[in-house]
Amino acid sequence: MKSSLISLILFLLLLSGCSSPPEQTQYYMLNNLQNAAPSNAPQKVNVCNTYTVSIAMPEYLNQPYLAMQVHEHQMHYSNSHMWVEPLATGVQKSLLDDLNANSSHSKFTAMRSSGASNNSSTINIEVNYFHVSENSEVIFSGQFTLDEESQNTQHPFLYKSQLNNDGYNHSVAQMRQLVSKLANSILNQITNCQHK
Amino acid sequence: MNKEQHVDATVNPVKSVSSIWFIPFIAVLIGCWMLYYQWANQGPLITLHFESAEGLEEGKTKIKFRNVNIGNVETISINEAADGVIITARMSKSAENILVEDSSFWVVTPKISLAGVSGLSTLISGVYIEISPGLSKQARLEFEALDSPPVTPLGTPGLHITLNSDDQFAYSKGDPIIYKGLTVGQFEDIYFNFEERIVYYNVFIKAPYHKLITTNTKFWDVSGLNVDLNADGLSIKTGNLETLLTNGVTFDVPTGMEVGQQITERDYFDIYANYELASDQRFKQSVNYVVLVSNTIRGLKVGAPVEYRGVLIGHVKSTNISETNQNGLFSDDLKIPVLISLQPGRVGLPDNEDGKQLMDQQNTLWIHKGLKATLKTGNLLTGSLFVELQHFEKQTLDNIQTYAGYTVIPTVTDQFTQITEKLGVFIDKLNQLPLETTAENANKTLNEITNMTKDFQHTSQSLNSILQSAHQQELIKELNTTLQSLSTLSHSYSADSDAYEQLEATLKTLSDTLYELKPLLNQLKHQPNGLIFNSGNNNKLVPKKHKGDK
Repeated sequence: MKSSLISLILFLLLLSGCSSPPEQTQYYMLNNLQNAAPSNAPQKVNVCNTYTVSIAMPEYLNQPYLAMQVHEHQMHYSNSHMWVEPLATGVQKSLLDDLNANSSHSKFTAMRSSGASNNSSTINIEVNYFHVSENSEVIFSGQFTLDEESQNTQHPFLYKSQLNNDGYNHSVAQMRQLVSKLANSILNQITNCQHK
Repeated sequence: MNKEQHVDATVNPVKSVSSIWFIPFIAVLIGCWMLYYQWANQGPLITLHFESAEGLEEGKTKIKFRNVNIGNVETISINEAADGVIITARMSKSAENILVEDSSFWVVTPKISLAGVSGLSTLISGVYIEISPGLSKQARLEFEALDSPPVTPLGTPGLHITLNSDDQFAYSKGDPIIYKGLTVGQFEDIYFNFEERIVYYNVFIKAPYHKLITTNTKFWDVSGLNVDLNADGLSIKTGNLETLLTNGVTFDVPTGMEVGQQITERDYFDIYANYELASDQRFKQSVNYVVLVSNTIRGLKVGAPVEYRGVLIGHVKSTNISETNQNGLFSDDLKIPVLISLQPGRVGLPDNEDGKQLMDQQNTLWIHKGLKATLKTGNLLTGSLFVELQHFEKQTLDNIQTYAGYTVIPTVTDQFTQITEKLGVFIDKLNQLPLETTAENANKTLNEITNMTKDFQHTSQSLNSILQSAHQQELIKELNTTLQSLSTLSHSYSADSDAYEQLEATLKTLSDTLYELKPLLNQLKHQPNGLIFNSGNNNKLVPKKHKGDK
């Protein structure tokens, strides 16, 4: 009886040696709460145009993991660094925040699944690549189609940004800046109704 | 030195013959003795005449008696007339006493017949010649061989009799004689008498059954199955199992007949077709009458019974007898004369002339008082007829008619015949009915019924169309109701509806849950035990600062 108890205790001690502290998973959000605050949005007067924005992300980014290009043709998904929301949602929110924050006469809304309204113009963004690479560089490329006043114009874009610090946190911040660059590019392409 | 010394030589007589010559001398003596012994003990050389030497071989074929070798065939040659072969055989000395005048020889070969199988051993040993010793005391050395073994060995105790038959029986040598199921004898040989055109069969009855053969013994045929369909019905008889396959004859003393005296020497007996015919022979006396039949006599055969109140008193002896001095034409219809034979012995009268006379007187008296003959149907299936004598007291007769010298018993029609006559009259009346008019009326009625049926058919078809139309309308109503229900259901699940929103929310929850579960599933995919143990392979691959900024 006594020897059995001792054997059990020893077995439990050995088993506890196999245990290890769980690795902490890091979650990231593309949009920052500072840009998302309603106070940042300018007060829109005489809204002359409304745009509905839709974003199509590539299939390799429909993952909860943060992706990093480790070689020329190799991607790496980090198990311990994840998006809190789908990246398409994060990009759309960030882009809408930037567009609405920097335009006082146009309104940008997300396209609903049922489709855009008949009267609004549409901006269809198709992202090709949006990830960080092992070369300490964040890349954001694709094209957006501007359907405005029965005119359909297509504009490719390619933005790169170098990392100044280590870690995913900094790379996410760089990605957010590239989205802002895209917002600026879109705003430059749309018709300014003040000039009409 | 000159004096010569003479020595006399001893002279002994020289032996003229060497003792060694005794040996061949003794051998010669032994040889002579052997030759003498052989000559002194060898049996006689016999000569046999066969039709054929089939299976016989010189120096090999044996002559046997009771399966003991008593001789060997030495030579086989064809006779001068070339119609047979001559066989010489050396017999043993012990067989000398059986070589007598009536000894018989035959070749034993394998035989398979309906009566049995014999000589199977010769299939292996080869054929041999069998001898049957005779009873004679006169020695003989030349014999005519038999074609086949004798049915009865010579000297077998029993009785030889001769049966004869003018019927178409086909008995062959070896067929059995049956007595109450036992085989008590055999047919030995067959002889056809061309003058009498009768076949005679020599038959041997073995002892002690030969004591059964008496002067009153009757023989009848029991070949195969005897199926008799007559006025008395169907009867099947057979002798024993052997006679089912072969022919056979049985015998007995008919019932009611004295046994008679035992036969001790060859006698002659008739073979009857069956027991009834044989049994009839016990009555020797008979009185003949003629019955004039006005109806058909089809079914009335010779030998058909004549009954008096159910008692068999005689048989039909002949049908359609004709008077020899018949001239001229018949004015009326012709009655068919049937000759019947009544036997006084069957009715208790003595079987002699007195009984015959008494029966004739009795019948004459009864004919005056109304005795009539009737043809009755004995078997409805076969239509066989028999003659029945009945009393009709009201139909007395004063003058008795004769026909061809025989007394005529008047006839009266049978009740069955009367019924058939009445039936015939009824059918005649039926034929006279106006059936054609009735048939025409019936035909018209049938046509009208046919038209009515067609109208009814049209009506039923119209009714069927109406019912089908009503059924289709009902079906369309049900379809409309179903489509309305389906439309209501689709509205319930259309966009902006509560159900749609609930469904969308549920799908989103499910999508979110799967999104959250994705890392876990991915971890389990690569490391199934990852839930319990840490892999230790901590992924430290993270983005690095650009080197140019260092």
